[in-house]
Amino acid sequence: MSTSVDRYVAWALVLIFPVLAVFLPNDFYLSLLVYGMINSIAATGLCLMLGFAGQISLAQAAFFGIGAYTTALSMNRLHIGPLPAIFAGAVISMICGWLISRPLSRLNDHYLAMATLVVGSIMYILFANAAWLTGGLDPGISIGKHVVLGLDLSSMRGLFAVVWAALILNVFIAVNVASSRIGRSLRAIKMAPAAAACVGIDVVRAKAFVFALSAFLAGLAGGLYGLYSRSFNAGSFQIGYAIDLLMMVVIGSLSRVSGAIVGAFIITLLPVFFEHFEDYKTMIFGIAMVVIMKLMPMGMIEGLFSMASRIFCMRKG
Amino acid sequence: MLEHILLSGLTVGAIYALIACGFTVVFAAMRIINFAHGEFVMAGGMFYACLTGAMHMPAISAFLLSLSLAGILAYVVYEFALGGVAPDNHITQIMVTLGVGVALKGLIEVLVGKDTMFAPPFTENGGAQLGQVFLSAQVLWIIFFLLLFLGAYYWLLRHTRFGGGMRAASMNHYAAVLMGISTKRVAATSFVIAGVVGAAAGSLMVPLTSMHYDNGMFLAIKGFAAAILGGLGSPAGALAGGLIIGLTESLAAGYISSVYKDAVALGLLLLVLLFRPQGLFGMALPQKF
Repeated sequence: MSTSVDRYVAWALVLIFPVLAVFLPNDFYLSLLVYGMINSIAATGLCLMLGFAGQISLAQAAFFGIGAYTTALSMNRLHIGPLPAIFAGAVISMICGWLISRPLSRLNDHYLAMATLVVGSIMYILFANAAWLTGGLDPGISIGKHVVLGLDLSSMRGLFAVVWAALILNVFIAVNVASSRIGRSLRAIKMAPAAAACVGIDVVRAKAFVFALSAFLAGLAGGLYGLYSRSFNAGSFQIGYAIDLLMMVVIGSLSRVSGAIVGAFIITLLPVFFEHFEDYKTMIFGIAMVVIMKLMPMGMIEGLFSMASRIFCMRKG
Repeated sequence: MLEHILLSGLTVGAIYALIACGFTVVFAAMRIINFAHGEFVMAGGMFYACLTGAMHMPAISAFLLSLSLAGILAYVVYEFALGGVAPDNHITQIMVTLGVGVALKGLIEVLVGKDTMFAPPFTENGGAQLGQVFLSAQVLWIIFFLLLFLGAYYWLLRHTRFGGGMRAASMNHYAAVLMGISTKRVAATSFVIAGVVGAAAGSLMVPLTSMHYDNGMFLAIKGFAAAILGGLGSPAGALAGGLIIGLTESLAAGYISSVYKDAVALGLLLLVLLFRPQGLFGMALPQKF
């Protein structure tokens, strides 16, 4: 599957969603669809980072939180409209990502994973304890009713339109980055950073770019999550969410935008299809992560696809 | 006031040093950071709490049983999850150890539940008066076990044939293979040692702090902070790093704010990672991209 196929599949997925939204029987399914789309945006950000640049980040939940809190606070305290507020959340998250990426780009692999884990933990401690700003764990923070361009954002249909627009932006950015000069340099960095530097790629700048971009997408998803849940607390931005995002990418594909979207939907829908899933979720995710990474290090869906295409080609030959 | 802060810093620091030893042992053998290590600490504490609580076992036998369970668990994890991963496949190593950690946490969540667990101390009475402060028996046990482990590990590395192999494998993997050292056996042994010492740290701390299935990741971060502060791969560094982190944390809790004591310790780790990733006492690492 080349990047152009990935591009078509990703766009096809995006175009299916409004059709689905029309046919879904009630608001419960529609809200699942919206939540899946929000997760898709955050997962795409991680996919660009992990699959393209080979940089592991466990701080995505923190950027998600920065987006959510910026959106909520600028709506509640500065009385900005929802769309500029979401955009502000994404941009502030991107700035934080860029600032963090500069020093972190010296670290690689294990050290980077640990450092991003620490950044995520520090941000969670701040979210949970700076109650004067964020509302902490209890009571948390709420967003009131808002109407944008005639769409009531407290209704699922209104929210769907906004999230869908954000998803289009997300896929547009991601597939174009993937097949651009910068996407190729990121893949070069993943394979051999020293060789990439030798052919003239500015490794530090490219890493900072992908870090900031994935923080932007996580912040965008976070702002949408704020509007979606309307009332949330710091508990949503724990390391557990970063692991969920990692699972989405691992289930889908480590290097395909479409795979990240499919993975996000699978992880979002699992608790609905399996009763009592939440009780065993942590254990199942952990085992699945180990098994998939050992057997199909490119991601489960992509692994299955490549296995299927190999069998198909063998028959043809 | 200051004496008590120093004492609690020393206690916490000794526990962090024990956790750090687990990171150090695995790093020396395999050049990886074991992201599942915190869950071994948590699981060890949980085993100890359940064995003394629900099964009414005497403390010492519960401690030993918890250590053996963790050792078996570590061996199973190594054999089925970590063993086959290529040594230079870093992303897979990180994801596999993370996954193992998440799975262990989930396992304890299913087995024990979401309650906070408490446990009795090893010995009811005993302890020592040191000037103005009273060292409880549990604190003495922790310090005793820490020194016992460091001594035993030093003896293993310096005075046994297998320990020599471990040192060789840590210095140069391929040269060790060429000299006929089974690096796989070294790695498996180190992983089991780390699991056991992690479980010991967990069991020793439960009587003082209680344990929750969600604690693992935080314990791992603190232990890792200690390990990297002293320089990954050096047990003496782990001891020093643990004490520094513990004292910083309790000083921060005493004089700044107890809410942000974790953030202070983690900020310290971040600073070390950024400015001296080889640790305070380690040698400079070759600069890569």
